[in-house]
Amino acid sequence: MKLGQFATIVGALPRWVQNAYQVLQLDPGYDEERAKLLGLARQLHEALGIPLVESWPLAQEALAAWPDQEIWRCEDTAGVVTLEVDVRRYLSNYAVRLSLARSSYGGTKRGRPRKGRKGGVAEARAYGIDIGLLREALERTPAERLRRLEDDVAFVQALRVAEP
Amino acid sequence: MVAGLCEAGVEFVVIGGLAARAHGSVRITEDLDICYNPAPENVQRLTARVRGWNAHLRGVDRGLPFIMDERTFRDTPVMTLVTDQGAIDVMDRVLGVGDYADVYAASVPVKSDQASFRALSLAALLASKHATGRPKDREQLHELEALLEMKRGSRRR
Repeated sequence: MKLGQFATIVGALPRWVQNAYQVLQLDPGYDEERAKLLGLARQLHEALGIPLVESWPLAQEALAAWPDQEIWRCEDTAGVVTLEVDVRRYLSNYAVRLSLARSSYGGTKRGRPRKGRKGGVAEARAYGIDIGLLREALERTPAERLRRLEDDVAFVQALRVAEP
Repeated sequence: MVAGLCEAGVEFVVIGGLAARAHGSVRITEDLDICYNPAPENVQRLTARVRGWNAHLRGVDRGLPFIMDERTFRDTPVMTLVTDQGAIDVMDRVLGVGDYADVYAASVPVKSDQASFRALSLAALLASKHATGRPKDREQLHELEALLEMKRGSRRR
């Protein structure tokens, strides 16, 4: 897992993740379990204004209590202050970010953009795109194009069904 | 799905593959990408609609809890979902274009057999693809740029 993907799951910027790793003195490496922990530690750190080194063990305890406790509670020694963490809600938000990272994360292009471009149609043709198909599509109305998409999708789905 | 969202009174702009198809792309897309108005009453309508379609998260173990409500939309406004009607990606902003107001301003009306809706303009689609910079968007960038040039060329003639 790359830093960008990990940061998406944590719900933070990559720079914040790198700083957190230094503060918490974590071993290098990114995985989903650690993202889950760091994401909750970050939320506790931001919501309560406590240092990350203190919110990290709280996050570990709260997540260890799931699924026995959907709401995890922690009292101070005097019994004056009680902390409540809605673990179910947190895990739901974590799942959304996890889904996003798994479905959409594809990395970014490296390097500078190419210079001396030929222009849209010429470059697309050189890339191997069938310009004739695009010309035909442009002769149709948007409604006709979308109708054709439905036909295409139905055709592809039928092919999948037909596969052994 | 687009018709279902329109029926539910959800304010949204179609972005991604379906919008590209409306502008002349020949690529097949099976999911719907939308940018929604994040106003609370609209999020309420969107939540009710996708909940009615039994939405769950794409690519995530069903064992993890998933609460589909307005608060989840507020906390995590970008979601990749699978529903009974198909896959849908929802977001409250588009990289390279801006928030919903910017996206709406950069959209055009589209009429299909089932519904009338708004879709991101070809120029704005290109801006978003350039901004995301994902390798998988590279091929589509060539196609969209060619379409834009062809459309501009036909307007000049």
